Amino acid sequence: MNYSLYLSSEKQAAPTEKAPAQSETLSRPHGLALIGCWANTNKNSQEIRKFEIRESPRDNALLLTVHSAGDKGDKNWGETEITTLFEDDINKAGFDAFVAEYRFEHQQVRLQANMNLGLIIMTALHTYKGDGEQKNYFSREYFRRQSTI
Amino acid sequence: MSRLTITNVISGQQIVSRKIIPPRDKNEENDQDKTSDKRTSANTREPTLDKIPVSYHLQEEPEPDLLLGRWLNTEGASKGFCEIEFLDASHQIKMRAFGLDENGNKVELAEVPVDIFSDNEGSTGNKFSANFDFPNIQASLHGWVKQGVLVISVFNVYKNTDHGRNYFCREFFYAA
Repeated sequence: MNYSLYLSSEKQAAPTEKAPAQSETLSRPHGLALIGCWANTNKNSQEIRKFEIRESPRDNALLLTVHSAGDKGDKNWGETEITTLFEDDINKAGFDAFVAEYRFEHQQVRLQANMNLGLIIMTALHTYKGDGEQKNYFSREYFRRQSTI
Repeated sequence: MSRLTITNVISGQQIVSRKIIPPRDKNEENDQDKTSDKRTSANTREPTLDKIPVSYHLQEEPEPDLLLGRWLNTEGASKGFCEIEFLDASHQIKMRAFGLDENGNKVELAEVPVDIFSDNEGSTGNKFSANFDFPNIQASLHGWVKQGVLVISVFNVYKNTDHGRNYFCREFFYAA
C-alpha cells in the first residue's frame, strides 16, 4: 500500500522505490547535466534572459549566474551558489533539479528549477521586503542550452 | 475665433472654414450637467504617466479566489499529497495537506501559511509557494492554477540522507 512519504519518521525509515536509501557519499559532480549556459526560449522575455551554471574549481560547488532584462541591456545578478540539488523521481539519470537564492537589498528571489526534455524550467519567486507597495511576483520560464552566455 | 480660407486646388473654389460640432449624446449631456466640478481644460484624456501617483499603477491585492477550496490529486495513490486545501484565515492564506496512511486512510499532514504571487499575465494571486517541515523531509513547493488544474512542483530535502535522496516531483490536482 502506498502511504505518504511525509508521514512519521518510522514510516519513512524504510527505503522506498522512489527514494532509495543510499548512505554512501555521492560521486561528483552531482549536477553534471545542469552545467552550461542556458538561454530563455522566449527571446522577448522581460524577466530572466539567460543564466550560467558552472562548477567551482575550489570546492566543486555549483555556481549560478543570472542575467535578466534591464533598462540598459542585460543585468547581471552576480554569482550565487546552488544550495540544493534534487533527483527527478522519473528520470534517475542524475540530479536535474535545483534551488538557489538571491538576496538583494529590497527583495529576495528564490529560484526553483527542474530539467525536462532538455529544457530547464525555472520558477522565480520574487518576495519584496518591508512594508513597500510592491507585490510578490512569480515568473516561470523555459531555457534551452546554448554554447556560450 | 479665427477662420481659415481653404482653396480647392482643382476647382479653384474658395471656402471659409467653420467649426464643426459633433452631435452630443443626450446621456452625456445629462452626465455633464450632474458634474459639479467644471473642467478648466478641454483635454479629457487620462493624465500622463509621470503625473500619475504611484498608487495608481499598483495592482489590486492578489485575491487567490482560484486557489481557495479543496483539491484532489489526479493520482489517487500518490506518495505525496492526496488532497490539499487552501483556507482564507484572517488575511493569511493557509494550505492544509493530507496524505494516505498505511491503511489507505486520509490523514492530515500539516497546515502552513502560503505566500501568494502575481505574474505578468494578468493573473491575480493564483500562484503560491509554501514550505513544510515534515518529520524526515523538508518540502519546499510552488504551484499555480492553469485551465482548472492546480500544479505543484515539490522540492523534497531529506533531513537524513540515509532515508533517501533529495527528489523533485510535480503533482496535479483538480477542484473537489
